[in-house]
Amino acid sequence: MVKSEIEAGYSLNKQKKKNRFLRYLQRDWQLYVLMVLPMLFILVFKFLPYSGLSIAFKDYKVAKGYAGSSWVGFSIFHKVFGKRDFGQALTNTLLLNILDLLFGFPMPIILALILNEIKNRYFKSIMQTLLYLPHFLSWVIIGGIGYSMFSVSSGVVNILIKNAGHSPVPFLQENTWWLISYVLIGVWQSMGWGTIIYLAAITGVNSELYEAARVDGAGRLKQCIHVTLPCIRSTIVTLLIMNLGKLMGGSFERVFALANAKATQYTTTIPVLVYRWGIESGKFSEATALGLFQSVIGLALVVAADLIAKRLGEDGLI
Amino acid sequence: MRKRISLKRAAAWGTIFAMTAGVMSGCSAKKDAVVSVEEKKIEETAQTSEAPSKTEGKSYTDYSKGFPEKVTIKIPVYDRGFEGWDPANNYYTNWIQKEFGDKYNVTVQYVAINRQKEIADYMQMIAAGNAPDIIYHYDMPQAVNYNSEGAMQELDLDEIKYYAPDYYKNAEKIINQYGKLDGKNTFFFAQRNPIYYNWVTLIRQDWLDKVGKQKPATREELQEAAKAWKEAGLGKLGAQIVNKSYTYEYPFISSSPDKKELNLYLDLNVAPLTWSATKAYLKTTNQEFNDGILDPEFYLNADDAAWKADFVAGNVGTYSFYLSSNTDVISSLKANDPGAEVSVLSPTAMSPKDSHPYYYKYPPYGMIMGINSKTDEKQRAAVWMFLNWMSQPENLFYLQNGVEGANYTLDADKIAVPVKDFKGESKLSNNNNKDYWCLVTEMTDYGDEAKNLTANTRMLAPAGYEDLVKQSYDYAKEVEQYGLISPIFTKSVASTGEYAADLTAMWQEFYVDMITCKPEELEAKYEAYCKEYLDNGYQEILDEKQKLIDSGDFIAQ
Repeated sequence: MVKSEIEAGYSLNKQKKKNRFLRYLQRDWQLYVLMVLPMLFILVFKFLPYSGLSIAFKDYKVAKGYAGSSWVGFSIFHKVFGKRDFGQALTNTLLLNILDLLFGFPMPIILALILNEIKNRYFKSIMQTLLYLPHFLSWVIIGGIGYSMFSVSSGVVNILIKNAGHSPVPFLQENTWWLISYVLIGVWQSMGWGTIIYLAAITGVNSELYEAARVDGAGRLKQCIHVTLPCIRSTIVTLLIMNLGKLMGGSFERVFALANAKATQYTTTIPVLVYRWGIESGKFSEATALGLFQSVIGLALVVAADLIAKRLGEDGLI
Repeated sequence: MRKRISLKRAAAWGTIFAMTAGVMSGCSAKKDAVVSVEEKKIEETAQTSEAPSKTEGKSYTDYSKGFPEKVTIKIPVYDRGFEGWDPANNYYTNWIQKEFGDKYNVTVQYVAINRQKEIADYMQMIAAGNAPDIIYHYDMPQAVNYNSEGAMQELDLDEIKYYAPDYYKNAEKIINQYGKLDGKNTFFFAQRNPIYYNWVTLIRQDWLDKVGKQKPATREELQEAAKAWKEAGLGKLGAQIVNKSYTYEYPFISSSPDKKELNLYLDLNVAPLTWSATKAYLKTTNQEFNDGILDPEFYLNADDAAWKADFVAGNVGTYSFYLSSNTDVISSLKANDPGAEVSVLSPTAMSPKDSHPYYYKYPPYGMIMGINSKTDEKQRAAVWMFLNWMSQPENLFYLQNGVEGANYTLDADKIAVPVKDFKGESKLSNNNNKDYWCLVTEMTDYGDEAKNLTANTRMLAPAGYEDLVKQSYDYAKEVEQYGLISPIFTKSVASTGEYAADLTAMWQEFYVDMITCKPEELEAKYEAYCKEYLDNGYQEILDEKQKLIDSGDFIAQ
């Protein structure tokens, strides 16, 4: 008796919901129609490509296509994990990205705080423009500039060092030096652009807080540490979570443009392997399997970081 | 208010109409396509039953009067990035369409393939199902790879013979000898009557004169000259990184090579790191590096342009390249250093004095081609007819030389004399239209060596430097007997496709390290690297090749 009442209530509820949806549809159908195109866009360009991931589980032959190639289960993954370069690529990818996170992540914050302290408007905008500039250079160009500045025999910097009577430094042509140059060049390229979001967040800080701090006797540095930084903390955490997701990825162009055959210890990374297998030798299955592996780990890292952030009382991302 | 609502409504209806129309047109276009394919099929069967002609039990439809329905064939053409040159639409593609296409009711559609990344280009087109009807490559291992991807179809030689009798007559021997893969007729070829004197190494003659040295004839003499250059503060020996088309080891093959070793190790696609010839090469080059006579940053020269820049700037005194009349290397060098003089270095100067100047010899074919697995019977017929048309001497001559009186004049021996710096509308591409006529032959051929030399000199030498071609020709004659053709397997070597890219990355890392290390470290490094190389795929390749050699599945030279 009670059960059937509940069921009846439930179905009534369902019916109501359905009616409500129809009512909304009738009332706002124009809006729904307008939504069709963006939805289609997402479907075609975001969800449909997932079907391509199937080739990670197939012996994919280009001429046979997705449907014609035979399924092989996880054997492609076994093969990929067994390759000599896989382990190296994994450690290198993590190493390069962790270094990037350590040195590249705090730099825009520091820079944004410094820029925020500049009071002359013109000087500030000139500084900002100059700092944004490297972001717009492609890695191929930066690679070219890098070699003409830092190569041992013909780099400008090394010629200066030699003229000063010292022996040249193999900035890009020795493994450890290469790693240092890689990180520093990356920081130089991205730090200016990274400040934009922080500067926007800083603008949103209530100016009364600064006034109160000043009344309490806080100087510029103290204001920075006790007002500005706590106010932009959620922005920092959001960006940190997003950056953690990139730990397994990283830029292919950056490594490729800066790599050379002499310093190779750190230049085999996952994106480089995907390029070598997928584009250079047409082994699409292996490249896809590696890319899928990378994405799954990347997703797991983001989710984990998000959980930790929530535990620590932040808003999180997802 | 009412007006606003109706406006809104009109806008909404407009959007709906546009979207529906879009969706409908998408569907209906597909429908049309389906219908037309079906119609085509019906028509095809009707036509094929029209007038079949028989050749040894098989029947082929005669299209010599032209196809009843328009047939479109897609022909690949290398895009080498020549400035101001559209490889797929220019004077000559239009001429081909007019002379061949319109005559036989065929649309000849050229598909540009980026020469620098042709494999990626091809692979993507094969995957998308819109690859050209001819799939080609200059080297056998990659042509075999395309086939093992399922991109090519089996050929019917009688069909070629029927539709392209003249082409087939020229190519029959090489098709029969090299065209079979895994027992099936797979490849057809362009002819190659090889010349070796277009690949030259230039050396700074003025530097040699300055240090009072003769032109080197052995590796040792080359090193002596380079040491003298170093002392005089001139420059070093040039080089570029070796990471493809592995022929570096040829000058270091021992003077009485073991045939078995040659068959096993010679391979354009995989560097034979573990072979004694490689060890000899590494030892010599390591010594040169440590003596300070080799460009210390040779490994940064990832392409020809970088080495060329070093040569033009006067940093290095040697530079190897394909000589052609429009090269700017000599003029740029002269602009930089008016006193610069160049001459051709003998190939013997690459080999140590106790070994022979072996070199990579081309097989007797040029372009290796297969028919796309998606190409249908009519398109195939049109491709064969196209090859036959191009094989006609007058058509070939036109493609190779252009318009008489504009691009060239004929001398007394009927050899073309190109008009220097011709800029008219019938200007040839920067490599003399080679990428169009490479389908039937790799070289211009007047049927006589002396005539060929005259013609080639005109094509290869920059104005005023005809002597370079002569020098190169004489050297090529001198070492003619030392050409070695790498073995051609008649079955695909699967492990090569599997490991080649990874081994290349390894090779690059290892060999640069072994050349730039201290001489006393070389031996230990070599052993460790060989082991790693073998463990990561090379042993598998050697085993597979050995098996094919043992079972006779390769063409002995």
